Amino acid sequence: MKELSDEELDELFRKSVEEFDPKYEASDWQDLRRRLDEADGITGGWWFRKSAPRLASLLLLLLVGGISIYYYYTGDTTIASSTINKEASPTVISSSSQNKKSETKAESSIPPRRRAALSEDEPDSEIDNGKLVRQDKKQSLVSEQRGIRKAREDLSERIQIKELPRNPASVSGVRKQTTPDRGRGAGAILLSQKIDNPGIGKPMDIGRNEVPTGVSQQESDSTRFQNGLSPIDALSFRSKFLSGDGLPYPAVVFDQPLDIPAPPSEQLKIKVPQWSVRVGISPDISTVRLSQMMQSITPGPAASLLVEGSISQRWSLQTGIIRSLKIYQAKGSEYEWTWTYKQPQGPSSVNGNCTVFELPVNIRFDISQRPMSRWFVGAGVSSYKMQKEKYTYEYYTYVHNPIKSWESKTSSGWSFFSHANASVGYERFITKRLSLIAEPYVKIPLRGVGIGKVNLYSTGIWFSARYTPVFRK
Amino acid sequence: MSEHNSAAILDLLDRCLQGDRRSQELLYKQFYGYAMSLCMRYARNRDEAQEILNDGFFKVFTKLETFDQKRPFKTWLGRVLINTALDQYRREAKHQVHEDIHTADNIAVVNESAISRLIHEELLELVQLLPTAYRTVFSMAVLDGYTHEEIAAELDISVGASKSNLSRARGKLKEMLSKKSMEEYERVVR
Repeated sequence: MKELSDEELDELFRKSVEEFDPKYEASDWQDLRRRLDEADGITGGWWFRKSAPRLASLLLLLLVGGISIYYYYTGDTTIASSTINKEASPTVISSSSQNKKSETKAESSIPPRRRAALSEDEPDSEIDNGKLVRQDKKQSLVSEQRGIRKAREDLSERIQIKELPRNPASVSGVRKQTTPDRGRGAGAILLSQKIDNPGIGKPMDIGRNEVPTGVSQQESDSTRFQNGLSPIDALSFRSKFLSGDGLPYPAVVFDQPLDIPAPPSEQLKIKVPQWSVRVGISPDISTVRLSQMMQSITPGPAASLLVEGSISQRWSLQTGIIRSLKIYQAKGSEYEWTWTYKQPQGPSSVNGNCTVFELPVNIRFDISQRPMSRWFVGAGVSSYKMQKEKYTYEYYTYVHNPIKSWESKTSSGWSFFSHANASVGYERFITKRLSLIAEPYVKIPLRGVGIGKVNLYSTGIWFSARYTPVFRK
Repeated sequence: MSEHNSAAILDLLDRCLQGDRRSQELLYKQFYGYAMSLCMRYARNRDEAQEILNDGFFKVFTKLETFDQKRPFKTWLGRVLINTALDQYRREAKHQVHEDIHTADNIAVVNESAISRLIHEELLELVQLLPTAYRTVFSMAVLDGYTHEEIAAELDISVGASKSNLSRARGKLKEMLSKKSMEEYERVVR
């Protein structure tokens, strides 16, 4: 029987609060959630700030698609008069548009959640941007945004974050590491003692009270009581003597998931960036015949700047700008002689050297998603704008006063939807926001491009860096 | 990656930053024990502690962009909660009337075996029974390691007042412990 000193008292309470681990009350979270929801409602700009990145990327895609469609239907006569493969593009647009309409109808009869799930699963949920612009832009945009947002919310619920082991109530996270001579309250001592948690249902060994082998617990405790013990030790014994009191400690393990759904499959845990920027370089191997693809050819350089916006867990849209130098050789018969000056005989072969701006609109599907890597395939269409064209003509037979070369002084304009794209790629994450991509591709001509209306095949492999920026609300 | 925060925590924080409620809930649950324990020692009762807790977490979720991810999240959370508790203390201090508690004055010594029967929650309740000024200084100085100079600055009191409050808090706690011990002793003997 003795009075506690200040140091003993401090240590008693310090230890007590360190070991006190309040039980989780779901109602506490519900209160906070209500407040957060109210705050979100009050600050009207919150939704906009949150959705701004997605909105911006979607707007960009719609803009690009819209401009493309606009020029396609109202563009210059050169393009309009071109008949090669012209029917192909409107057909694609029309069917795509029909798909969209029927999908919208179908969606209206499906509950929002299911709709979100559908939009995630079905590739048909892809839209044709240009057609949408021709319709009611605002309405389409809002409904599409809503769909994507719901899909994302649904997805974010399904993408469950790992439930971490619960953080103990130790004060060590806050306790300032002061020294006694700094003027702290007298007797304040920092505890460095580590307390091991043996797990559910097992008594916690507090460290100081190890029982020697061969001695029963009760015997040992009694002996220690008789010998006199500190209040701290006494506090520890309390938990052993009163094991049937339903104390919340020491082995508190947060093992009840409450209303949290079961962890989803491994694949669903992968975080999909909402949108990202990608720069890349590639050799560009161009030819007018597939058979030449592997034989020739001096590759030209290509560089790209692309923006990608995901529309579901696995699907994403991609657009941007690509500049490439296409070096190729074509037979004279593969080159449309469009000159007003008609030679009696055309060239035997044409060597082309063209700088091209390309505007792709692709869709990407992730075949495999792993935390650090992805395999994907992509497809889409590209519009070409020949920036500089230079052709050298070769004649295998004698032609009087032939044209030996031709070089453009001005651009020959856009060739919309002139190529179909297909690719397969591998993406490797370097950091959470930066990844490297290798993506072999092929571009198949849907129509001729340039002054000679050449059907130009291109292939290569993109080596890209993809960056996912962070937007904070 | 920060050396203080695990990848899972950083991932969770990222999602919280995007306003994802599920992630916010998980973060809340993850640190609930630690945070509530901290709030309990600055509050008079559980309801008040819950108010401080949710005020603190509300600040965390709405100001998360100010958190430096290179620093330990737990420490930052603790600071936010303590500051929230101190804000409440300051608000109350403006309207504070003299408060005191009835303490046992007939027992000056402590029965150790009786103390051993006090569980952690009961000890924490004793802290909560202290007058607000004593409780705050005691918690800051003894449990959270603040210096008297820091306490004086935070609470806008003198260093002497801080020391005095701490001393009185200890005295009160000893008295309450004695009383508790005696009650416990009598219960066991009976």
